[in-house]
Amino acid sequence: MSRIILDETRRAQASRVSAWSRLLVLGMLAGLLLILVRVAQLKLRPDASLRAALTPPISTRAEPARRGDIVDARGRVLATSTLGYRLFIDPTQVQDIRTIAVDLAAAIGTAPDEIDRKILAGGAPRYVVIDDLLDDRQVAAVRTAGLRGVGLQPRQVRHYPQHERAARVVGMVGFEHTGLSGSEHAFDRMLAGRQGRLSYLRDVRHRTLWFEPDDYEPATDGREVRLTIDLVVQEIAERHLRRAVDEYEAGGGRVVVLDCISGAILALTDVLAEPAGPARLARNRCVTDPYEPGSTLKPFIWAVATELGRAHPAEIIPCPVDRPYRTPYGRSIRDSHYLGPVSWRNVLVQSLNTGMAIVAARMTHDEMRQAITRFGFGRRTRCGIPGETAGLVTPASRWSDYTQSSVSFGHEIAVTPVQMVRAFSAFARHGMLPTVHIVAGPGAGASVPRFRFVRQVCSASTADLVREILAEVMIEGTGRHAQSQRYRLFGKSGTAQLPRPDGGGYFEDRYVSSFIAGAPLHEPRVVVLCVIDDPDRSRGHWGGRVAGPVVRDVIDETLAYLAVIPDHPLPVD
Amino acid sequence: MFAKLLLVILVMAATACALLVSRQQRLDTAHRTAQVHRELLKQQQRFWTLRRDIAIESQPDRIREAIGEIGGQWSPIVLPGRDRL
Repeated sequence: MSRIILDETRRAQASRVSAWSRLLVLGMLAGLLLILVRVAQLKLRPDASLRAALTPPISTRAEPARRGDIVDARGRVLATSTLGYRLFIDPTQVQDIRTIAVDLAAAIGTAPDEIDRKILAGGAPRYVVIDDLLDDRQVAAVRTAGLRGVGLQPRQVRHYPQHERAARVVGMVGFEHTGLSGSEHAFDRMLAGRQGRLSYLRDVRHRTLWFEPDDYEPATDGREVRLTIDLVVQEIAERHLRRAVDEYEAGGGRVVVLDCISGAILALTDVLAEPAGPARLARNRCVTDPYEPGSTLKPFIWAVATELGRAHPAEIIPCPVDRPYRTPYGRSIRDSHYLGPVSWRNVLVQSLNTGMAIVAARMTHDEMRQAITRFGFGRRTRCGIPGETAGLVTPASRWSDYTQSSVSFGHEIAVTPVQMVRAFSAFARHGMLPTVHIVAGPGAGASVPRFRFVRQVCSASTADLVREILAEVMIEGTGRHAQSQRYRLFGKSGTAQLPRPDGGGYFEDRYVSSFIAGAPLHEPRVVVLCVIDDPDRSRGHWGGRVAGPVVRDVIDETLAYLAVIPDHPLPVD
Repeated sequence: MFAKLLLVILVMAATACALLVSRQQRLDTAHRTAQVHRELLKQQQRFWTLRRDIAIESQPDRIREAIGEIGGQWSPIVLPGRDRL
């Protein structure tokens, strides 16, 4: 009996459990169904307020590519970019247009009137620039203030940490961060990089919440450009050139320092007494403006004439004793001093125009013209500096006897300073003409191209002989005022009259004074050229006097900096 | 039957929860990535600024001034072989 009662109780319990279970499952199913319906409704027919919120707050912005740095040969930064911020206002978003100027002025430390004036004058109704570039403190203050309708727009800022040092070589960028002049312009494609893109989900304050991998395309930064310029050598050259320009009250001056081993330009200096505009935008006269080289051209003519056998170094040249030399075609050629007949070797040591003209008359026009062009005059060096010119060499069709004589002592021809140092390097390198270049490599670690010689322009024996004679110039000739106490130099001075800008001959009392030298004599490392434009004649105008000391001082300091052992050690105290 | 149905529902619920957790974790990771990206850009900007500041402080003029202040006789270090081509 009791068993029957127990069974019935269990059945009733089971029935209750079963009923509750069914109810529970049905309830859950109903709940799930309701959720499903609601989800479908939200997805398919959301109400207006929800519809606005359902639109994903996705922003897309350009990721700016950082412009590459320009560095010197040893990696010192000449031009670099940082990120700055432009401050702007969207007047339509500002809570109270009457007080925004006061609030903002307090943050950035400017006059409220100024801000009001900009807002009222604003051309674009939703974008009024208040300050083009804020400093770090101002950016922090604006962010802390959290003013509605006020925005900070990131932008790249180009810095030139060395200020005016090597300004013409480095150049500058324009408003859009593209190169306008100098290396900034010449290597713009390499420096510029490629912009990226980022699409991201933002929060209510426009901060990035997250982004998917596919929505991010990273920017490719611009490449670093390593110049061959050495900042220390550049500083040495600029200092000494500036001193000479001031001392001689000259119109300007130029100095080029070339590593004659590799052809790397170590310094390129151009100083004007009265610059017409910013140096960064000015042309680089070391490659753009040719000058008349005067006697500094004589070694090249001397080398070719000797090599062609038109004169022997020991041959006595019948130079006049006390009056100008009259050429067969009737031209009178003067010297600064008359020595009478001297050896062909001494013609170069004493820099005699008459001796050069006599031997030049033994050469054909073609030989003389080829003597000029084989050293690279009349052609661009393609060193990598924008705006380079080829200089001026009289065309073969107009080459006359007069030209023949003039060119022999460096007149009626114009060369750029870079052409001149390149040509002179042939004497330092046993007759091999180096390839000059301003770029050391595309980036850090890139090796400097070495021994990139283009051609043999005269025999090694002739080049070495010329070098030996040019060393005598520093002792007995016009270079004696520029002789160094530390290194043995080989060099040549040049003094040419300044041509009139209208093409009508030369000024009687205005000159271009130049001096070029290499050192050390037996294993040359550098060649330095200094050109002083229009020095005050009352203070001096001879190349050896005016430009020579600049070359000597630049060589002394540069070689010491390059740790080259001196030929004449300084006395020990 | 009901037990089976209950099991299916529970499994589905568990799967849904796991999916939600996984999705949330993915979003958290994406958010963290965005934060790291932002931090990276900030550090990069700081690095650029420092690079500029170092360049300004190490100008040849300033180094010469510093040498002048320190005083003494300074001469270049001649490295072996540096005087040869």
